[in-house]
Amino acid sequence: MDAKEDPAVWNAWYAIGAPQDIRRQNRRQTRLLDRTIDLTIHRTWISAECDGRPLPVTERLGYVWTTLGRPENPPQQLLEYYEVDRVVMNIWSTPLKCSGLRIVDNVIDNAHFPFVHPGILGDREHLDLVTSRPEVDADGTLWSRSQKAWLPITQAAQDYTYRIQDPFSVILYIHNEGEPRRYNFLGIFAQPTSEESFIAHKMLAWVHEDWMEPNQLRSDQQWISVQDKYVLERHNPKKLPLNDLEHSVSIDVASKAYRQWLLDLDVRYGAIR
Amino acid sequence: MTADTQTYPVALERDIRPLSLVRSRLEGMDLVIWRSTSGAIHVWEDCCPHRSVRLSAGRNLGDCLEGIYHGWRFDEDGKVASVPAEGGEARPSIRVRVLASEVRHGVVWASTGKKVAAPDGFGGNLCRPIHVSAPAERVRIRFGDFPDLQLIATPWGHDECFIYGASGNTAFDARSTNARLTDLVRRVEAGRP
Amino acid sequence: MIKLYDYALSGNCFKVHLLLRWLGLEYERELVDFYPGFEHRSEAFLRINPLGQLPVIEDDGEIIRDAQAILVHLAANYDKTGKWYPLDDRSLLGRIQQWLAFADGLTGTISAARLHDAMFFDLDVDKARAGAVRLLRVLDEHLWFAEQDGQDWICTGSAPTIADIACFPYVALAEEGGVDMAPYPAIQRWVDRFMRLDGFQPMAGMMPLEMPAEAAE
Repeated sequence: MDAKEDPAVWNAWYAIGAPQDIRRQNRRQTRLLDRTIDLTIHRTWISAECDGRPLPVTERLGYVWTTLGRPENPPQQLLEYYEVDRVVMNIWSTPLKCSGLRIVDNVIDNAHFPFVHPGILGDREHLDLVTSRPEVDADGTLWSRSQKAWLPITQAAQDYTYRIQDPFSVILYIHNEGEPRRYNFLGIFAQPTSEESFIAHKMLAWVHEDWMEPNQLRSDQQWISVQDKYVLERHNPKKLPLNDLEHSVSIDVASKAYRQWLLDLDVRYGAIR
Repeated sequence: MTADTQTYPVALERDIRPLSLVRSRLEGMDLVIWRSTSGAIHVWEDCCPHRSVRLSAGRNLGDCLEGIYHGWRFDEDGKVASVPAEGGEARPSIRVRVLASEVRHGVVWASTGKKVAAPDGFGGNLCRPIHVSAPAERVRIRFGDFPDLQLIATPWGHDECFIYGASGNTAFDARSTNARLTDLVRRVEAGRP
Repeated sequence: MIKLYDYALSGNCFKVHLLLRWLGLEYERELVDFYPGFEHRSEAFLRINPLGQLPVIEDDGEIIRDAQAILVHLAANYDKTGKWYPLDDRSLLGRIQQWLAFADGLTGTISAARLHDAMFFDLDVDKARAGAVRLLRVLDEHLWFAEQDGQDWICTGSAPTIADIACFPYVALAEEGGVDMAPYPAIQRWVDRFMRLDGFQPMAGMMPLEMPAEAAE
């Protein structure tokens, strides 16, 4: 389908690349919602056009953002990203062969940790998960707070909160044991190139600790993403079903809430109804 | 072999090893084939009912097939025997799509229809199954070149099929037969006569 | 201590990890930001390997590049069992070399497709995938007939050699390059056998859980 027929999708902001990656690779084009986006690299900024039409652009959270439609608000923000005592980095931008909606559905699910990320994000001996009642706030943002899953390296329950402001993006708030009220953040911003393919842009913004080595952090996060890719690229259908094609169980609270939220927004691009 | 039968070979029986998962395809449907500890061979649609991830990406644990995404376990009948995140409880109302299948002449036969009916008289020495990037019809019209072999082209999709062959000939030589069939594949794929 | 210039998602680096672990060798990793940093093309790295490729090892002051060459170096110098690269079986060495060269072909086809699909590498991906299909068909046929002869591995013998290590990673990761692996059931059986080897640990992109132990036949 043409994404223009899907207002929630058409009128959203999308990350389309990291400025330093675009410059380093001299990237002149990308794809968004089945359209070609032409990029021009200026001295201090990067501009975008579609069929000669200039598009609004802005840079935040490590990425260049643009839109084909008319969003009501600027792109999502995370002020903590700019705190001076944080390690922030672009983990990478990588294409994946399934609907971008499926990665959001994957990120907010903790039940796959012991199987897809064994020994890293979960293990089979500690399968008890704590879910919460997701809610949509006054701005229409979907929140799923304080989901808990066992984290092998700390041998304790890790607390996660998920913020979904647009159909194709999610920010994780990883509750930080050492400093309550502060979180480590991961952002996954999907750039849908077609209904069944997207580019995953991943961002990290963690409170600095002495043991952190940027190359190692980046490597660890890429590793986790590729473990998820083993599953993401083996879905059939590639689009996210919003009907009853897939059978959820009661633990799938976050996934069910996300799919219902998409239905309420009348999202159809990249989905099956 | 008639082309309008809905029953086709999907694997050689001996290639379905214990504790392994085998992928195949039939008329556009991805299949997963596995042998359980009871010895029975199961042919299922390669699609987990939970989140539609290929079951073949998981593991054959002997008495069940375990999906990779959430570790759901499916018993021999294709029903959900365990959901780990829910204390290992069963959900027997959730099941995979099981295909009608049977093992005959050393071949696993399956049908996307209601019944499976393996043809009589296919058997003897089995050829190495070969994939072809061409429609089954284009392959079948060449089968006359091999009067010594019984050949079936299983339609995998619009543009691909799998050749299964058998010979009752005692002088059968697997390697030279394979070479002849590989030549056929090359010619068909190149669109050559 | 051996130093390995490493990128965690490189199949070629994974070959070296596998053999280092199987040989029980200690080593340190020097992480190279292959993507998105392209650190392997930096001047500093080109001084280490002018070809700008990973993996590279430094062993006792000597620098060795190329995954297959590193496998030969490690097996020849450190394998007390003599099974990974049987120096005393001269009839086997040529055949192992044949498959090491084949593995290089897998890098040039499957890995190229994978880099195109996952990291925006600009190359002819259709050609890469077609090349991969050609090689995978050869490998599938070879393994099918090897199985008929009661052989489990690429080269004759009761144990895997570095030929198996060299061919394994990109075959296992082929789908990341848009190469359909369903047509090659004999390859999949070999992959299963390889993953069941004692001490095998997968890299990201491979089945993350332990393969169930082989039942007594």
